[in-house]
Amino acid sequence: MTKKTKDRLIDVDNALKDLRDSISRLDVADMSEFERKVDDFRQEIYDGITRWGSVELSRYPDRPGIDGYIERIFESFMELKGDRTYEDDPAIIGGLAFLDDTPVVIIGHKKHSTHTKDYMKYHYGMASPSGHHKAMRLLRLAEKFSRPLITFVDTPGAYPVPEAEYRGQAFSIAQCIAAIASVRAPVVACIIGEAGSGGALALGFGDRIIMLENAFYGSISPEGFSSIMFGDSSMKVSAADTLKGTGKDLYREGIVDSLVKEPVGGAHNNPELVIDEVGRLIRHHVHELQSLAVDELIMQRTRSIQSLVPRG
Amino acid sequence: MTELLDLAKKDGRWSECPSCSEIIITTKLKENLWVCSHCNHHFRINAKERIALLCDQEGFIGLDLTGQTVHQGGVPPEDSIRAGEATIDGQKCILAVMDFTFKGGSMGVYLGNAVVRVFHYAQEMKVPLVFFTASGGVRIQEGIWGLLQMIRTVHARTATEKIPMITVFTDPTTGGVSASFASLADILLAEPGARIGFAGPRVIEATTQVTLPPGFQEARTLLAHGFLDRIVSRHELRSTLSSFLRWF
Ligand SMILES: [Zn+2]
Repeated sequence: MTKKTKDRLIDVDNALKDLRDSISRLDVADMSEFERKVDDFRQEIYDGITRWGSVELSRYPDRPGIDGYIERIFESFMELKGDRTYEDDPAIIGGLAFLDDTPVVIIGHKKHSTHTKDYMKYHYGMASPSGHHKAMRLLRLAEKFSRPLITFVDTPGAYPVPEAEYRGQAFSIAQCIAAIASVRAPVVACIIGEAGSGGALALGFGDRIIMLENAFYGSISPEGFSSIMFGDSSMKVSAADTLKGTGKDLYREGIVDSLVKEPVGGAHNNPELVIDEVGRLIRHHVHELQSLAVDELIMQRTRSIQSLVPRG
Repeated sequence: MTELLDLAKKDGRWSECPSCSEIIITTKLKENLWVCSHCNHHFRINAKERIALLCDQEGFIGLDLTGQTVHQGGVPPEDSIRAGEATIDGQKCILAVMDFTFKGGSMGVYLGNAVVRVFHYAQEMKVPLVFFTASGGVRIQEGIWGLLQMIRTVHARTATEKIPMITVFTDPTTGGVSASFASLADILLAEPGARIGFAGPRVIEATTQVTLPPGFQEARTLLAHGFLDRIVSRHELRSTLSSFLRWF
C-alpha cells in the first residue's frame, strides 16, 4: 500500500469516527443501521472489495485504458495498422515505441479512447480474426528485430459476430496463442481490465504477467456462468466468487508475477499512480528478461506454461 | 402404436434420427456406423464406439493418460478422452478420441494434462497423431484453470510440431478446443454436419440481434471459407485416414 493511499484511509477513518461521535450525541433511537454501514464500508476498505465489485470496476467506463498506458509509459508511439490480408481491426491497437531507450513493440485491446467513449467504434475491445492476425504480424516484427513485446489486455472476449466466425475466429485465436507461446523475444503481458475467455488469452500470456488487483481474468463472465448454471444472471455475485478471477486471486495462485494495487475505489481514482506502477514493473521485467539468452528465455517459458495447473 | 414405439425407443431397440425423425432399428443403425440411412445424419458416438469402428482387429492398445501407474480402482478419474497406439487400415498412429458424452467433452485440468501426454507419446513413438475432437469448450467450473489449458495444449502442439497431426472435428467442437491445439494440425478434416466454431450461436444472436442462417458454423460452411481440407463421411474415414497416414 502506498503512503498516499494509507493517508487517505486514515482520513476516511477519522471522518467516520467524527460522524459516529456526532450522531451518537443526537438522540437517535436506532444506531444499528448506521453502525452496520460503517462496518461494511470499513471492511470494504481494509479487506478489499468483493469479487463482483472487482468485476464492476474492471469494466468501469473511467478506468484507464490502453491509450493512457501508452501515453504515460512509452515515448514516440508509432501506430501500425492492418493485418496485411483483409482489414484493420479497431479493437486491437499496436505499434512501435520506446521504453526509455529500448525499442519495443506494443499490442493491446482498445475498448475506447481516452477522450471519447466510443465503445462501438472499437467493438468494445473485442477482437476479430483480423485483430489476431494484426497482433501476429506485430509479433513477428518483435521477433525479427529482437525487441521486447508488451501486451495490454482489456476485453470482454473475442468479437461474437457471424463475420468473425466466417473468418475463422477459433483458428485465429489458436494461432495467436501459439505465436506468443513460441515467439523468440521477451513478452510482458499486462492485464489491466476485463480479460474474458479465449479473446483475452490470445494476448494474455507472457514471460512475465502484470495484473491489476481489480482486473478480472476468466473463461466466462460471471453473468455467463450464472446463466449456464442457473438459467439467468441472478447468481452473478456468487459466480464471481466461484470463478476467482481477480488480480489478487491469480497472484495468490502464482499465475501472475506482479500484482498492482489500486487506489481505494479503483484505478480511475488515481490513474497516474496506477500507470506509473505498471510502468515501473514493465521496466523491471523487461530489464530482467533482456539479460537472458533467447534459448534460456524459451526454456523458462516452456516451464511456466506447463506448470499452469493448480498446486497440490 | 406410439406407445409401442416409445417403449422400443426406451429400451434402445429403436432409435430416432434427430435430423429427419426417421425411426431406425438400432442394430441396423450400428451396422451403418451410426449414420442415418435416410438423411446421412451422423449420430454422435462415444470414444469407445469411435475406436471400435476405426481400428483394425486388435488394432488398439490403450495408453495411460493419467500419469499415474496405479490409480484408484484401476479407472481414470475422467472418461473425457481415450488414446492408444492404433492401427487404422494397416497404418500405425496414435489415436486420441474425445468423448462428448462425458460432461460435454469440456476441457479442464484433467483433459489438459491428458492432451499434453498424447503429444508426448506421439513424439516418443515417432508416429503420426490422429485426434478426434468433440467438446463444448472450456470447463467453466474450473475457473481460470480450464482456460489456461488452452495455452498448455497449444504449447504442447507447437513443441511437437514436426509430428504429423490430423484433426477430425466431430459434432460439436467449439470454444476452448477449436481455439487451441485442435486447429493447429497439419490436416483438418470434419464429419458431415459437425458444428465447429468459437462463440456460441445464442451469444452471437443476443449480441447482434440477427437470426443465423442454416449451415452457420457447420462443416460445409467452414470448408467453403477455407478452414477445412475435407469433409469425410464416416464410411470413408478409415480409408481416408490411412491414405493420409501413408503419405506422412
Ligand atoms: Zn435421418
